[in-house]
Amino acid sequence: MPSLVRSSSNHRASWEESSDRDLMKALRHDDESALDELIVRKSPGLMGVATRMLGDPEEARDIVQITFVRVWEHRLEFRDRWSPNTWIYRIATNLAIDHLRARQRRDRAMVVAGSTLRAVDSERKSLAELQQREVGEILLKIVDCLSDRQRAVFVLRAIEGFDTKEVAKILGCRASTIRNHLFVARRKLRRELEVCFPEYAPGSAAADSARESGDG
Amino acid sequence: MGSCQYLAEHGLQQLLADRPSDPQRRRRQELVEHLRACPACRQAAVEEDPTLVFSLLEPEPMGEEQLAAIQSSVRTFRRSRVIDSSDRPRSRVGGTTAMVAASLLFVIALLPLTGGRQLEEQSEPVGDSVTEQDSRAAPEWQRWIDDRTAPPMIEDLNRPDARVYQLTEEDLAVVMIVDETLDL
Repeated sequence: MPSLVRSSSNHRASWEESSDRDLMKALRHDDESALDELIVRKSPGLMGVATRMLGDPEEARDIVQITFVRVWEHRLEFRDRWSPNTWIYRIATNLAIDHLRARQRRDRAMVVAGSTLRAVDSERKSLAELQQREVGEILLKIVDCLSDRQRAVFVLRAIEGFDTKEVAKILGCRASTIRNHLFVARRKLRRELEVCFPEYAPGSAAADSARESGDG
Repeated sequence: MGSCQYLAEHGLQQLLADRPSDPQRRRRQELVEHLRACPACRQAAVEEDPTLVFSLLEPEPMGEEQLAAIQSSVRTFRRSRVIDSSDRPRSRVGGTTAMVAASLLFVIALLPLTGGRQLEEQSEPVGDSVTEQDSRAAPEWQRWIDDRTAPPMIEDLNRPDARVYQLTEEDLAVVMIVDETLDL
């Protein structure tokens, strides 16, 4: 497939019009420039997922790098009927979950998390003033209350905006399982917010009980 | 604060819907962007569900340098893996050669003791002495055959019921640890 093979010097411009699927086809022809383009396209999203799951940008970058090494190594196993995006996120999410499972619980980090939340809380910032960075930090601190799977589901579904079916494909489980994980994850996070950061959890307990009775 | 009608018209289901009828990503994105920009709706949304504040997180932008660093690391790592994997067959061949050499040495060492027909046919005829050796060496030759057909025990463990076997088949080595007392 000569049309998919580009020279490395001008690959960035020439790949811009190509779909992810075209890039995967080129990868199968050992085109390294296609991998470079995939890295440019997918790294920001993958970094977001990995960082929010792992809570450490350095570890997240390692996960992203290994993801693309795996993409290259397994490029011949990719099937046309698969979604490249789902496939790549599946590799990254599995790596992140494996990493989480291998990592021992960091009790010390939990203590730091508590103090950080109290510090932010004491400033009494309104929601409008709360910066993205601070919200991100709060999430990183309280996300430890979730299991690995709940964490992955919450990050992919609630933050990255994948729909339930996509998340199910990425994590290799049923859509009903994803919905269940998300429901539990939201409830746990609400309670964490209520305990550690009450001014940002208005009416959380009432909302919980209303949801439970409604979903019951 | 309460003047915006966006939520009243559109609701929060784009963000909260966990059921199969998931919203289109575009509509979800529109809602997220509105909530980021509109304090009144954002406040109302967070009162509905505080975890929605995390849905408003924006992806961290990545600069060209960061992306180039990832590309470079991936390239380096990938190439080092290629070198590793190209080393592996060489070491396997080396291992096979060593095993073949060891087997040949073993056979050569046994040659003076053996009188089996196959070896006899391939050897120079040495008259009666061979017949004499035959009767004397038969158990040795049999042991050699047994060694080649039965799993050789390579190590005794201190546990009375545990044994370690090594099976060698061409270039594949299999080590088996047998212990009936182990409860897996």
